[in-house]
Amino acid sequence: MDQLNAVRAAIEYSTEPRIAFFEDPAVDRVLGITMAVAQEVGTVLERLDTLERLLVQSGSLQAGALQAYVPDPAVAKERLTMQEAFVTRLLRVVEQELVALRAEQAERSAAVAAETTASTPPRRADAA
Amino acid sequence: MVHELKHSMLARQTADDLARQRFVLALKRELTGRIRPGNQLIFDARVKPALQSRLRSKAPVDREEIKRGLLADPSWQTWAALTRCSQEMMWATITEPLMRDRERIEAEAKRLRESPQKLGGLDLPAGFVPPAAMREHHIHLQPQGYAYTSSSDDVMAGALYEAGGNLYSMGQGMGGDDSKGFAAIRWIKANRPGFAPRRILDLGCSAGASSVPYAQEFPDAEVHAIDVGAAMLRYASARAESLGARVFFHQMDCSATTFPDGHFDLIVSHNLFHEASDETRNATFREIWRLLAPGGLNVNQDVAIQNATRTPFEQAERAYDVYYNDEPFWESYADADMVPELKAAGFPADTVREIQLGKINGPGHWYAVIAEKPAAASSRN
Repeated sequence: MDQLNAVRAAIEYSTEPRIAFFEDPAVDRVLGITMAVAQEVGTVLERLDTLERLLVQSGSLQAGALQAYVPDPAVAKERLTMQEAFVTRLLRVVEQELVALRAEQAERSAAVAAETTASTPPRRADAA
Repeated sequence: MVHELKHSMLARQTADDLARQRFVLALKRELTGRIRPGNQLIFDARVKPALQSRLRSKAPVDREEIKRGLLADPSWQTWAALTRCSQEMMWATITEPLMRDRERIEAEAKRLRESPQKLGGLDLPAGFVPPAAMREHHIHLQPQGYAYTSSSDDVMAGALYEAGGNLYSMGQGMGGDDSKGFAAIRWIKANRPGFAPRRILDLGCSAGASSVPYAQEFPDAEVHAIDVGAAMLRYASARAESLGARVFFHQMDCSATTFPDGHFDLIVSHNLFHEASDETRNATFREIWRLLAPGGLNVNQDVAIQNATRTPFEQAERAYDVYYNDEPFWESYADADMVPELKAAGFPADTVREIQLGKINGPGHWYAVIAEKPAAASSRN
């Protein structure tokens, strides 16, 4: 089966219902498309990496050489780190929400602590 | 991908296929390792105060309320939508090379199945119908479902399960060479030195990833493995043959097998019970009691998600898998207390215990419940 038909066959083989998590299902749809684009960008990154490595090795590029390249375990590990950095950049907006929440939480606990200290009755100097 | 074992049943993949898989892996690791822990923060900062204010109570909020609260939170929605998306992408990414290579893989399975040098066996009784739950639910969102089979040569369910399972496990932080079977075998050898089972049974074997290690580590034993899907078992059998392991695969229901009483010295299950209803689990425990020979050992390894030790938030958060990863029994399994259930199935109280099984290569540990049939007991109690 050729590339295009395999992509189509994989889609037809999948029978799972679309699930909408957001109030507007269009958001889920856009997210799905965005992630598919992201995956292809990730794939292109790897292609470039392969190309660069091969060029460095041989000084020239031969037909079929790109797809024949098999990364050794060390390279595969490096590549995973690269993908993780890419995904972290991609999900910046999601992580930023958490960072803000964390800061808000810290501020709130600091405020509560300050209030507790302030509301402690001052010890009377002449109590004794 | 960094799959643990190479064999002739794996799809031939291009560099682009492997890059797409690495992307899915990186995405899953990000979501599991960095975004998902934020759900606790979301709950503490927003969902819990909102629930307590609505319920006009400062009391701990119950699991079902928390589920509804999370569902309405925009940050949770984003995590859940991306997690669902990553699972769908995982399947799409591994289905594609399988589709391209399908004819070769099916032919290879047939060659191995019909080879005169075949080591083990495959028994697919005519008319066997997988349990309704396995037909109605597509566990892990596997395309077409775990027990699906389209023809007498179909092996897709097994091929998808192996490739998907490896990618999923690694997305959870497990190493490519992690093995549930080896984790249990290591425990058995350390705790039952000299144990030499004559016959071993692997319940709910899927693609046989755990069955094969038993054949390798107990070469004198006859290893049998059962599951409910024909395409799954056809793949498992061809895979084992390709790896040179002698395993006899059968299509059977784990709660009602056709083996004689006392037939096995060792009965194991790996990640079976979180895919089984309370009823099936208890019937399987009774079946294990019947099938074990006196002096026999039962080891049930599974995911360590027991709710008894979890907060209501953790329980509610983990329920994602029930609703969005089509794991219908994930929560009832987590709620279950299997020790009394095994006792009710016949095992004497002092032979049943829960243990933590160290992983071969991964964070945390597996849960396992162990039961033994005393040497003096008859198979029917």
